[in-house]
Amino acid sequence: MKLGIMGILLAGILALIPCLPATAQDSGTITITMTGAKEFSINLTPANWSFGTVTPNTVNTTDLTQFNLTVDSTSTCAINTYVTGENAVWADDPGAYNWTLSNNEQNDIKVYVLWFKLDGEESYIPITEGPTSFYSGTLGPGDSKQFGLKLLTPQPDFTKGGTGYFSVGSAIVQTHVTISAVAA
Amino acid sequence: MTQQRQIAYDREVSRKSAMKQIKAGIITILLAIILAAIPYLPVVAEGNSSGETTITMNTESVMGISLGQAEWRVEGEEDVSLNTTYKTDLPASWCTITNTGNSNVTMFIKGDDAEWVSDPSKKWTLSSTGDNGKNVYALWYHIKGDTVDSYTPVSKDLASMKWVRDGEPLNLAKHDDTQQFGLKLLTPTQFIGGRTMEANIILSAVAA
Repeated sequence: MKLGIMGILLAGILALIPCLPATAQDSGTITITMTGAKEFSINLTPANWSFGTVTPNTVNTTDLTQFNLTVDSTSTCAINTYVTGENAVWADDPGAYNWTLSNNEQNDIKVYVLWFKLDGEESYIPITEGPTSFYSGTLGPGDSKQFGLKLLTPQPDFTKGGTGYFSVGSAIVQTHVTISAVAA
Repeated sequence: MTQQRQIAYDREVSRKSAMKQIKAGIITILLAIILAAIPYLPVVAEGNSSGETTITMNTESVMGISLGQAEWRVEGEEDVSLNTTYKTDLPASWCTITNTGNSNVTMFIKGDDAEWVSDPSKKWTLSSTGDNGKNVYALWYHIKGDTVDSYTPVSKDLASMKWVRDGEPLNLAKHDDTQQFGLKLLTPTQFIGGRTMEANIILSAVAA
């Protein structure tokens, strides 16, 4: 008798098992939202370039493929790019002698001019201390742009024997060109 | 029974009020986190956002100096006395050296025996020690800005002009840089009077 009752109970329990989740279940929805960060990295090469020995009031140019800007292929967005320059300084004593970067494409005593030109483009664009658009479109991951520079040195600080010179001789005058990027 | 309902009602109101406060607290905390994160968002978005190249240019050099004085008449038209010290009228700034080139130069100085203009074989020897003697005279220079009343002997050997204060060479780094100096002379303890003696000092600029 007992065995029979236990058998019935066991059968009942077993029969109920598939129904238990259905009886206890409710449903809910979880929405997961994520926004991928706009991350990018750019690389400008070479890190250093020398025009060699320059004389006053002369134009010096590089090849149009001399410099290369690359957007890292792992970047996650398109970018807009800008270029800036700065005053050139005597490397030995920056406070004692410098050339101001022109903002009107005109050189003068202690004022120099710098332009860039993208490979394949028509004209040179002046570089100033303020940001100038480097590439009119956007650049995406893996994109690269080659460009060259043009330099117009300052007018001579003094003349000796009919030849113009800068105030510092056998000196290194140094400046920097920076290309910066923002997410498009 | 009515009192029990009132108590239950009060508890429910209290619970809802507490929930509202918690929600308000959560919203406040979330808002604070969002506001705190705002300054960092551009940084996260930018990554490595610039590249720089250093441009260098070398300049041509030319060397040259000029001296503001070409002659020192020690006592003007008067005669000098034995064993007497004379200084240029401007003890520190009598002569200006100007860098008329653009090379970074250091200055060297060299004296010579004083010769009788009528017979150069008759001389006053330039002392090499700063001590005078019979027909031996001494000469010094003082650089403007150097230690007060400090003088350095001039000898017949070409020697670098140096600051007494720190031993550094006298330097003109770029075009139009200037330095000034004065001279001091001690006449011999014995000499034959009536002779006009003449000596040359050479100042040289050497690339630093």
